[in-house]
Amino acid sequence: MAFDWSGVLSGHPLHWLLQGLAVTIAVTLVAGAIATVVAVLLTALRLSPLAPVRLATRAVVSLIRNTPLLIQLMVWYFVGFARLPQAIKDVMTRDHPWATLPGQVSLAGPEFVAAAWGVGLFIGVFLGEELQAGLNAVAPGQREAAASQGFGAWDTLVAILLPQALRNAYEPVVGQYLNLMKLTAIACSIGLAELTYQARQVESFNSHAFEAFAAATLLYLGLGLVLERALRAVRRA
Amino acid sequence: MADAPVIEFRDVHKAFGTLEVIRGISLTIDRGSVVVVCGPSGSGKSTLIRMVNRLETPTRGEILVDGVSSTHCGAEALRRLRTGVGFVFQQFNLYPHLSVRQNVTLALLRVLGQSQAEADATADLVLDQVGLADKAENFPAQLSGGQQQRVAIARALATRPDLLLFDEPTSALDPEMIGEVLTVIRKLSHHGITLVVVTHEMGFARTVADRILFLDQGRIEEDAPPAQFFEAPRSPRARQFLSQILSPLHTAGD
Repeated sequence: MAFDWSGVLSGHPLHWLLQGLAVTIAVTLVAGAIATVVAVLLTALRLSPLAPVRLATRAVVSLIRNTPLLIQLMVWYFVGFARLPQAIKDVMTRDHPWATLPGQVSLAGPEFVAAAWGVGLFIGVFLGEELQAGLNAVAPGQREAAASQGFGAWDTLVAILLPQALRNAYEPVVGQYLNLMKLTAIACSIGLAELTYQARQVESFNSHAFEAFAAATLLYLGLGLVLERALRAVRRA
Repeated sequence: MADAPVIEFRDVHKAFGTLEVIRGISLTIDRGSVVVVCGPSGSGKSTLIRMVNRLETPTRGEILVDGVSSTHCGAEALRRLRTGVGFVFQQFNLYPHLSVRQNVTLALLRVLGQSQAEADATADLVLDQVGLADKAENFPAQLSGGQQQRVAIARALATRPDLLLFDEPTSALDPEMIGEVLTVIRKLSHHGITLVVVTHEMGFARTVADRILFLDQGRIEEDAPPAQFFEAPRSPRARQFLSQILSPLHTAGD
């Protein structure tokens, strides 16, 4: 089978793929930040002295972990957005030139927000599980040392336990951030014009399906390798 | 308050499930004194000092530290009390992800709200006190056991506590490193800080302590100055313990 790259590496198709790449990078970064915050919050809530708080946290984790991301994105996009107050909807759907990515993708628009929040929450829950595993491997003496020095619960978690948990679970944590990057592809189903969406657009534009998806695959691969190296560099720092 | 005791135990009991570890201890410890707690394994020595800053909570009775009940105080008061009580663990429990300097300064910055410059100055001072000024930028894993325990002592000293508690500080060390740690503790005994040391190092107890508490099965069996404890122990359990610990090959029956 012969590839014909001219169909994707020139003109509109090339332009679309690069726009899609930019959107994929943006949604990965925002969702990654959300996932990080969600994971730390869930970890803190699980250590709460109040049993109802711990129970509620477990329930949310189970719900997110055991339902498909595709369904969750649909819920956030169709149900969640519809339930927002009109004033917020107006702000989100208005044009924001300062917050517009290539290809007219608005960072404040419902597609981008639902995708970043949905993927961020989904991976945040798994990331929280990895941190919990890492936390369980921290020597009990560390908590006692912190207590004996008068640290409060939050300081103990953030300054003493989590950095060690992160070291213990570093490889699985890197894996979750890579998963997050790849799962942003599902956001094409709610109309976010990211890389997969654009590859499909090329396919319907000139039927170069193999080339379009091969190019998208290589771009994902490159992005993943860069992300992996970046996260390893963070560890060494 | 100069004459008030630093620590007061009031009929303290502690049980883990059905296992009674401490069975009714009342005692006071004077400011500036050096107290060694000894006794056979499982006698409740560690539990005794771990209850002082409420790493363990008594099941009955209470403990006062500087007149404040560590047993019944609220979370905020407990944190304040703990910053005034240094605790040194058998396993050092240094923070492995932080440098020696950061181990010492973390509580100063985050709990006491000191500035970085202030905390660094204190770190230099206390690390010098334990003879490790040159190791400030190392990480715990790069140090020997004896050095790690000296860092742990510096960390405990950083908040300028009036009271230092040592839970078998040399039991996890190789024999050749015990001396350097005991020397540091001995130096502290000249500084007027109250020291309570759980240890099996009887040479240290004899030369440094003002007072020896001998525990057996959760009760204080002997409470005496070292001379009396070593020369003329009153209780048979203490006599047996001493003969075993001073000459391990010598069995109790001989």
